Amino acid sequence: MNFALVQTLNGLTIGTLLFLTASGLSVVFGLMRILNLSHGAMLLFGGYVGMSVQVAGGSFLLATLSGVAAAAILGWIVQRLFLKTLMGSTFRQVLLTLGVAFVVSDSILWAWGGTPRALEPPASLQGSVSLGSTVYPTYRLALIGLGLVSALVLWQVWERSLWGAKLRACVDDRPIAAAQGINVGAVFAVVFVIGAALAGLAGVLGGVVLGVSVGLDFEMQLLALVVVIIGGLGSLSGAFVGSMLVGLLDSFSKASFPSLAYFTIFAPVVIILILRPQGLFGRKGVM
Amino acid sequence: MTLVVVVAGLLAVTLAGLFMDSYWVGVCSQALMMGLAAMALDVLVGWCGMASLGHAAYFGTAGYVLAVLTTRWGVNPWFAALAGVAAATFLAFLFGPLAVRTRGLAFLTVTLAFGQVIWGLTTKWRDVTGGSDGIAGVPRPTSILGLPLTDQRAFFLFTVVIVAIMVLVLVRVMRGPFGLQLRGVRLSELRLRSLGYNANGLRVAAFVISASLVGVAGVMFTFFNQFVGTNTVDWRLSAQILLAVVVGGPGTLWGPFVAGFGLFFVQIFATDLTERWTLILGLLYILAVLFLPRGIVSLVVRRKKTGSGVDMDHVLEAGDGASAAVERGA
Amino acid sequence: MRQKCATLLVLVGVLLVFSALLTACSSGDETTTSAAVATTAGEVTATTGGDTTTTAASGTPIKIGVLNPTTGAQTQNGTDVNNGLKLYFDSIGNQVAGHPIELVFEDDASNPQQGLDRARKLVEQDKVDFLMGVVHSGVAVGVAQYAAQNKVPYIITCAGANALTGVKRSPYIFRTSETNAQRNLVIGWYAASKLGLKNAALFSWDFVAGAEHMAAFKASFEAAGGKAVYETATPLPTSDFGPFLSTIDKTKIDSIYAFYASADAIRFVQQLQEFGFTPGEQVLDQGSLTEDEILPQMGDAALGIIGTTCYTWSLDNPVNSTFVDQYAAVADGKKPGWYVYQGYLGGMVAAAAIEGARGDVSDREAFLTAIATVKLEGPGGPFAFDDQGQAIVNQYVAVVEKDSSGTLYHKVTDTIPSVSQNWKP
Repeated sequence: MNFALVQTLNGLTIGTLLFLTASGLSVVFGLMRILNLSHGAMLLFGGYVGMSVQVAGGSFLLATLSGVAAAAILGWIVQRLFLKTLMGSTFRQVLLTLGVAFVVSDSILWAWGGTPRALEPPASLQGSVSLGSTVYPTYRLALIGLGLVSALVLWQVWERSLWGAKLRACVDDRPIAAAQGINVGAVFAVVFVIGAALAGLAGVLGGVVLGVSVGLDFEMQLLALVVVIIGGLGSLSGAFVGSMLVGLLDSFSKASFPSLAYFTIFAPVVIILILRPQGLFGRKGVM
Repeated sequence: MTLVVVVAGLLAVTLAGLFMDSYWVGVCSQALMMGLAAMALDVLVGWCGMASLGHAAYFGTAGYVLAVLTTRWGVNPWFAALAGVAAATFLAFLFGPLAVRTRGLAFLTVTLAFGQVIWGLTTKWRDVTGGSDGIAGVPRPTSILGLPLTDQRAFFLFTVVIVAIMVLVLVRVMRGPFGLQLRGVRLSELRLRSLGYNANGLRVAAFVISASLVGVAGVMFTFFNQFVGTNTVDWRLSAQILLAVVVGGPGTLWGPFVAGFGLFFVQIFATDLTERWTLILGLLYILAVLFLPRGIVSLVVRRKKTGSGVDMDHVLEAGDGASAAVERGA
Repeated sequence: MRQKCATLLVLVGVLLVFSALLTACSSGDETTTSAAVATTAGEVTATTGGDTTTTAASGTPIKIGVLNPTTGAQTQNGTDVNNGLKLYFDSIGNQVAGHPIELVFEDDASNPQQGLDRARKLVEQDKVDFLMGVVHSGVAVGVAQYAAQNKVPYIITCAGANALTGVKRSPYIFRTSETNAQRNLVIGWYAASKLGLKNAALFSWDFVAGAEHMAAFKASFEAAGGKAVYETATPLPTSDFGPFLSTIDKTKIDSIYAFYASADAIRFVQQLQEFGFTPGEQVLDQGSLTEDEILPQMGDAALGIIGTTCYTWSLDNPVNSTFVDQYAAVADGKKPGWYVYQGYLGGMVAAAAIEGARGDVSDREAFLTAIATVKLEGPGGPFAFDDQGQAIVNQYVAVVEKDSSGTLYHKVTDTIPSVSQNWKP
């Protein structure tokens, strides 16, 4: 087996999942200065719902849609209930989203129990593919493909669509955008829900590779946080580059230096936060 | 005022503790340690307006150094305890200067990240730390003034004494010029600097002091359990300590102490009745954010200014408008 | 307005939690004194030679503190052990030597700190007479430390950390399951000398138990002529073995040994197939990898795995037949797995010890002697302790196959009797 090839593919697989998770987190922050610490919990909720649907006999597609819908609904509820607080001081929203994260996380544990579970890939994507001397699971290749497609779709919306333009206006300069007649509140609500939905998607699709288990929410939350810090808050391209970088870093370091796994991910974070707090692609004054 | 409250409280707890059975005496000991940790973090949160989500790193480091020295190297528990606190202090000296260069959310994230680095090291460095299994068999100091510390009640009295000393020292320090300087740095950094004060240096001092005292709590906790595990460097512990500060009332010292103490009892009762402690903790966070911006202190003390005037809305914002603008290079 | 909605929702949440607390209150610390099982009291399955009458026990209740993970990554295992324990005591009417037995259950969540806290609670608040349980080795070390210090007898039912019944062991600690090293003595030797395997890739979890398993297998495998070509330790839990499997060069090995349990074991076995290692390499198992409880979930990926175990439900002896029937009656026809068996065996040994002490557990010295001299026939064969309080049991070599109805099971091919922690081939 070609070590480098397999690790790269593994890294890109994780990178795809991270991109789906981090893009929502990053845009929400860029837009509303909200660091949603309950993002990971939404991911896990979507994953568990998807798993249950699949176990109950649903198809993979149905499971995915259910997971996405569940996470979106959860996101809608949170945003609806706590909007005023969320738009208030930074500290309040950090504590609030932390509280929500604990509540959702423990509720998941209550509802589904602590045994780690996993999703089954759809029949069409089971099995493996031969890439020269390397054997690699088909599902993961499909996931990488999906990552590229979703990045392109999101990019189209962000750069080319009218709605995307409105969104970018709100990120750049909220008061002026509002003065132009853009309904900032509505834009925010939509973005928050879409972000949650993407997290749910990551939860379900990732549920095949990573499984769904207690603690996964915090792990993904942390990695997504790393991605947005490295890539820059409020930047979609930053989220993409950051996700792939972190995914590759995680994969290679796990295989080569398992003892240092956490260190290799967080040391860059600490350095970047101190030297270049706006991240690789972000803009100054954001943090 | 603070002094009276704290001393009275400690006396009450001490008396109560002597009458309870050994299990509850143990709970009281641990609750005192949590109160101390929360109070220590208040120095950073209440006076400097810097919320750290990574203070468990110092709690755990102190405990682990103590454990490793006593179990692997046979060092005397007293010296090992001092070494543990010294280690936590040293760690803060290393990280503090880097951390205080960030503000607000960045500070929160960088402390969380550093806390995770420590967590990762602790979990992975199995040869030294025992990894996720922790280190068991940590000996308590044999006796103090003739009382064997293996007895829960004797240990409780020991805890009360240590905590009381730390509280008194901290109150003296924060009531004095140092406390005022810290407040000045938060409220109007530019002015303080123009007066010749080293703003970042003061912040580092606050960081180190809070980490050091959290380390003391960590050492006591390890002595109590005679065991140290990865939960002592877990971010959830950091979050719990921060919650205690927020719920108690940042900037009052005694508010966070009482909240830390009380929160531990809530945890014990909750875990006795249900496995849903995390859920309850989450709800407490939400409730605190919605209803108690000034902490429980505001329920008890009706003054125009509670503590050093820090409430939730201003914890992560530092500096007045003008100096903040200059800082950003506008 | 929205803020009020938020407030309302939070209050509702608090109310929900409180009602959960209230309901949990009534069933909080589970204690069982009544039979909830459809077996008639008095049906003796263990040769304890004790009471078989159904007269009410009149002696002072004997409280047993049972600590197992009922939340967290090992929830299924802990719950199984508790069920096995309960099953045995229910089958003897929850009384031994005229004393009613009260089981007090606590959850350690596989967390050493929590295990310690709950052990403290069991001993100091609930005032139990002795402790049983624990699955996670890390938890066991902390609890054993505490038990030894406070002179509380502790019968470990699953956790395998070698040192606990090693030469420096405390006289208060006993173990009815095997040590981590013990479980690997036969399989390593068997793989090298009987199966002729030479080059193995070793996989294990990265914590105390994992390290002990891997080291023990390596020792017994290499002593019999094999060679450990790769040694990989993965975090607990690991969902994605891809990065680790990719470091293995298939041409350099003929076998793969792995110590994993529950969800990780399922994923590992499946990913071995996904990444093209099986069929092809011989997979070796020391009992946890293809444990009966998780075997059905692995599917065909598990076929052909050869392992050793101290128990599988297909064992053919009268005690096991009774055990399997009893379990089927309470578990909807399911077959008992390794963890249920350990709970059941633990119960048998505890009851026999109480019998041996004639119901007087307060005389610590006598009770410790009674535990140490227990000898009985369990569902897994003959049972006794060695002079360090460690179990001596049979080990069975088995291969995973499909029976006539397509169900995966362990087909026993060899029996190695009286395997102690110091066994040599």
